[in-house]
Amino acid sequence: MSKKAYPYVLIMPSVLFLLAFFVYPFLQVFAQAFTHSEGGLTIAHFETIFYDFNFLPSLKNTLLLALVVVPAQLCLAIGMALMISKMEKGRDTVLYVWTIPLGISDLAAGIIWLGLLDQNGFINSFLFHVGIIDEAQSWLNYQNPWAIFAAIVFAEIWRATAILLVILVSGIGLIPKEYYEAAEIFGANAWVRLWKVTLPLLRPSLQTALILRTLLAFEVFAVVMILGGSNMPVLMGEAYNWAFSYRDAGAAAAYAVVILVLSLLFTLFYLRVLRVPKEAQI
Amino acid sequence: MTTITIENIKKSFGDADILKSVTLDIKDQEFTVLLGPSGCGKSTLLRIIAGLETQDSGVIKIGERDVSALPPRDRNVAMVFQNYAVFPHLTVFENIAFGLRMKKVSDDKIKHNVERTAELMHIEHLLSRYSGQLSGGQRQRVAVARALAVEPDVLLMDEPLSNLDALLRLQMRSELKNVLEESKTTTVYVTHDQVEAMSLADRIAVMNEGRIDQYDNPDEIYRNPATEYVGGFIGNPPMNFLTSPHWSNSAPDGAQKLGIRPEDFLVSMEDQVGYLPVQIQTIEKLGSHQQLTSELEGQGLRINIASELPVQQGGILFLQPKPEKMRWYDVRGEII
Amino acid sequence: MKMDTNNQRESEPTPDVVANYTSTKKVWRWLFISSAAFLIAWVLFPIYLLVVSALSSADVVNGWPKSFIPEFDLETMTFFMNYYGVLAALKNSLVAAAFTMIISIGLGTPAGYALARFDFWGKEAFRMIILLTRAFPMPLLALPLAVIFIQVGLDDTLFGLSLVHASLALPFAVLITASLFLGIPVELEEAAWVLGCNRWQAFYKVVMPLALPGLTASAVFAFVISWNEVFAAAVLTINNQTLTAFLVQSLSASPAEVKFAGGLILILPALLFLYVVRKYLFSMWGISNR
Ligand SMILES: Nc1ncnc2c1ncn2[C@@H]1O[C@H](COP(=O)(O)OP(=O)(O)OP(=O)(O)O)[C@@H](O)[C@H]1O
Ligand SMILES: [Mg+2]
Repeated sequence: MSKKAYPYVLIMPSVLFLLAFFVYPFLQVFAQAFTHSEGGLTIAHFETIFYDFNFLPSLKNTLLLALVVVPAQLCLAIGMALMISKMEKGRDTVLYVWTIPLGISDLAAGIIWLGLLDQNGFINSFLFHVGIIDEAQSWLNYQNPWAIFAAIVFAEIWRATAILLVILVSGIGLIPKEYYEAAEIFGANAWVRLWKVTLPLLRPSLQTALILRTLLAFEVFAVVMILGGSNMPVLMGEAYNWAFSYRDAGAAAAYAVVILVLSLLFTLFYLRVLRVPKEAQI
Repeated sequence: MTTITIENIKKSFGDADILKSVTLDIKDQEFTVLLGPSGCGKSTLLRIIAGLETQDSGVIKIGERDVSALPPRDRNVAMVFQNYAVFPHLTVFENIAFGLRMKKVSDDKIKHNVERTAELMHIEHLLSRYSGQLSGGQRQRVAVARALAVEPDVLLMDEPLSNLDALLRLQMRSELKNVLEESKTTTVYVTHDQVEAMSLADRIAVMNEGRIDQYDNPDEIYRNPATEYVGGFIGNPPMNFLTSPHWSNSAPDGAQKLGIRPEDFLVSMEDQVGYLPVQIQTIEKLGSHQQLTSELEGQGLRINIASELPVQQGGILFLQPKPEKMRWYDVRGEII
Repeated sequence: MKMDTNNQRESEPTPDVVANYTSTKKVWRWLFISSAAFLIAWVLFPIYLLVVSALSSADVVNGWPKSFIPEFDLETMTFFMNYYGVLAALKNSLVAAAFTMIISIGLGTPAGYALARFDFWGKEAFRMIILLTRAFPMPLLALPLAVIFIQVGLDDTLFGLSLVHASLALPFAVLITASLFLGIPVELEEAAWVLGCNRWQAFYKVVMPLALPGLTASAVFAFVISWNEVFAAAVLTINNQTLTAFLVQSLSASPAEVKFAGGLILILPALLFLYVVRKYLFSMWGISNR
């Protein structure tokens, strides 16, 4: 075997695998979304889901969740990352604890927060122990859509801030100390240094973090199932329902296309807004 | 008998020709140093000898064996890398034994060989340590021991001393010289440090942009630089080159430049017959001698003189190049 | 240096100013420590409460008001383990995760090695494809694959599911192993070649032992990706449900014990996972910067 062939032999398995299980199903999503069961182009599946009473609420809920959760997480993660970068003692331990949720699924996170917010949950128990309420209150029901929404927001912030934190901490690690020292010598205080040095230089990391996190927010599914049930439809949950409960692969694929298009739009948006010219990178 | 024969080796990376037809005959047990500035292709040539790079054309022979197409493992060479490349997950003992184990040598022989080479390199007390527990100098010794343990036909070293501090480098240099003389292994050694090259080498191959300008023993290289390039590279400060000096009538036909080393002048404070006046621009007192920068007919000239001479900046000094030390170079920069 | 002396000459700091300065510094310090502590509690306390629930008797789990101290009663855990379908689901989760680990490391390691050690035509394109997979909600691909798997007879199999999970984990495996191998000096391999190894031997004897901790970390990462994945698991398995699929589908039907004990079982690998990978956390995500 010639030396030139080595790398191709080495990447061949992954390439074939990704062709079979990424590229092909990716094209197949569109095929299923736009064809009849007999073959032939159609937009019937999209009509099915658009006229479904759950479509608009699920679109609205998904976007709203992303809109509230992602910026909150971003601010929190930046704060945490800055704290980590200032820490001397216990840095590793704190970082370890803060990143624990990274390994926790949204299902488990949902269960954890259910334990807190349930009618029989810990929050009610706490309120009872300190004498604010006299009997168990049900927060997470259809009369309180905002409570459900807030619960999901808390659970998501709790679970998925860690991924942003890790990306930002490693991004901050890439910024040479000299920039801060230079800024400090020219009289910039901590606040100015944050806005004029850290954040601009962190843009590539912010971009990666935001793209990854926003896409994950569009995939929100199990937390919502647990905390909201049918009171809180989201896109991914609807896709699941159409595929699993109503056995309509075409409609499920149409939902998938909607999610894919949303993801694509937001990715492009971030790439554009947070664009860093090549010459201006560290 | 392990000679190394390198014939017309060419190598390019992309459209950059790094080696332009290199030919070199290295004798049995000879210590050859490849010397040249950074980027001239020394490492590339060494790696081609090792088989880590493949030449575009040309032949490499080790002894009578044509190894041009063989992978490194079949060439029976050993190599010492600039960063030592001591395996961090193995003890010093296992590092030194690595090559022998690959050759399926018996355990007794391995133990014997490892201990012998370890002793040679004065690291017998470190055999159970890991490379993380060694200093740079000790790692260097392990790397050399590992290379010698396999009893290679050819030992290749790529700037093995450049990561050591100055004092340690001097010490290791003389130790290496002894060890290698004793082991009688044909050695090719890469460096860009001319002092290292002069002190170690049996013969030095001076490389210049992918060519070998001169391959000779250190004295010869110093005394009779084959090209203007070699003269300008070796010596501190390097050889002076004066273009068409009309005061000299000994120039042979086709001579373009006179090459003369800074210490090869007769010096006088007073005007004498056959002496040329130069104006002194700077004086650097270096203890053993003084180094002057001066100008002769508009051309820069560096002169080393005895430290006692009472010269002054801006003053005039009278010189005569020693006739037997004058070297003449033609238009292409080659010696006549 | 110079600025300091200037300042001092202009206004000799009065004790008052100094005291003020140190006290604001103290306030900041206090704020810093307390917010760090709050965030630690914010992460840990909900997990602690889950442990409290999972280690309580059934009466307490279903009762009210709750105590904040665990009873250390195994009733809930035993109930969960004996609950119909749980053990099978647990086993399925483990099997699918193991498959995922094997596939993604088995395919990803050679590719990572190629990215780290060779320059070849199409390298950048390959890297782009790998990065691109992250810009897509991969679990969605379970939807068309569910249909395809029926055609090829992989429907409702753990192997089929682990293929989908591996497509999630493979890109990470490639990038992590590539950065691992980049961190191992190529001279170590070359030294091994010169000392008599062929490429495979050098990899096996030198690169592999050095990369092993990192490889373990990325294997564990692949494991956790599969272990945690809900959507594809729920779509692709019916009789062979994994734990996540089981829990999500029986949510409304199953008693509280099952939820909390299941939740605890689900997060156990997470704690282990972070412990194993903590050294590699940054090379995992740090490389996503470029
Ligand atoms: N794998 C490669 N791909 C492309 N160019 C290369 C490669 N290896 C070496 N070169 C180029 O070949 C030239 C010679 O490199 P080489 O390493 O042989 O120099 P050198 O004489 O050893 O220099 P130094 O003293 O700095 O080690 C350099 O210009 C280098 O950029
Ligand atoms: Mg070199």
